[in-house]
Amino acid sequence: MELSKTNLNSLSLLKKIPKSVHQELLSLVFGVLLQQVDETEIEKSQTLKQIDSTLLKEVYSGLITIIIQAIKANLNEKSLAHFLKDTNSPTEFVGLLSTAYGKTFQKIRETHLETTGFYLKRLISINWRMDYIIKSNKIEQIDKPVYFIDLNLQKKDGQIEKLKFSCDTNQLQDLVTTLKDAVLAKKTQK
Amino acid sequence: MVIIYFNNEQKEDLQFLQELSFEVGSKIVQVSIDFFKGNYNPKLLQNVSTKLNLPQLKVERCVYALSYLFTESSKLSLSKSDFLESVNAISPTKEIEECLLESYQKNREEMRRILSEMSLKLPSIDSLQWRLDVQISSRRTSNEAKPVYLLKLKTSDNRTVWFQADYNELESMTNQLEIALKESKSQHYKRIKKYIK
Repeated sequence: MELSKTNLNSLSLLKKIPKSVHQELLSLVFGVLLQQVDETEIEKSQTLKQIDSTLLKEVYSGLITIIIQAIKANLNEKSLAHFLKDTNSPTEFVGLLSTAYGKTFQKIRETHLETTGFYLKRLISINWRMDYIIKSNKIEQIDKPVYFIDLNLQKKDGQIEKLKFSCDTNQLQDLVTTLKDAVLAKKTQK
Repeated sequence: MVIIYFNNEQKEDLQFLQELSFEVGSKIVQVSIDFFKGNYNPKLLQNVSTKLNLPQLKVERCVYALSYLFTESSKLSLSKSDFLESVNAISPTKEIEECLLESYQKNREEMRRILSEMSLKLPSIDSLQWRLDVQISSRRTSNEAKPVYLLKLKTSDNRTVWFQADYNELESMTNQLEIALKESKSQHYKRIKKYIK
């Protein structure tokens, strides 16, 4: 895993930050990576205000870079902890970081990297079912057909995701027409 | 023949309509239709009751009872005669009866539409967009020409799913869905439809 010297140094800078603040900093970093928290929260945080802002910026950017590079290299929790041991960072922090990394690794990979990467889920198979709706507890005499469509998509790691949706006859007709156009496009090209 | 039954409380609330003049009564009916459509405004109820010089609680309960009447009759799709039979339970004046029937007939379709939106359903498909690309090379292979379809599916719960498919998969998906569509024109379906009616 290649990291610039400044990034590696940023972890050793953590020694200048009081321990009580470490956890807050870590949760903000992972919050940003999981896209649950906006970066501006870091400026708003009361606990982090006590830290010199240049120092904070260096440590923050160093942490983000390390985590993303680690995810890209597919490091697991132990390998990351091992790697960090050589970087002169406080051991307690390394422990906290690795645990948080292990918990959120999959999710960050999915939300960030796979959407910007080039592997999309592949369509494997399709299942369908046609029902006739008679009534519900809210409304009676519906008397309409409905289709349930089930798509099986395979992710890069082999896991299968099911995508379910319903449609009525008109929507299905539109769908079939769109797909037929798509199929025809390839036939006319070759 | 389907009729709606009112419990005693509701009957009492609806009897309240009798005591009012036609204009006032029709205003209250209008309020209950709006109430059903989702325009519930407690201030409006207050204004209406003070303007008409009526106790607010009674007006409110009458509006609720009327909403029940309209909800059930739309749900069951009552015919004119069934509706009038149900309304007869509170022995309304001719004018009130006509006013209720007119409101029901005018608003029935919309009320049924609102009810079906509230019913149980799976997210439905909004749109499917596709793009045909040719994959030229990747990290592991180079100098190939593989056609790849990129697809974007949007569903009514605001989910967008991106996926890819190659030509064979797309063709088989199209074939399957065409078969599904043909089912709606099949003999079996027509038979079921006839029997359920």
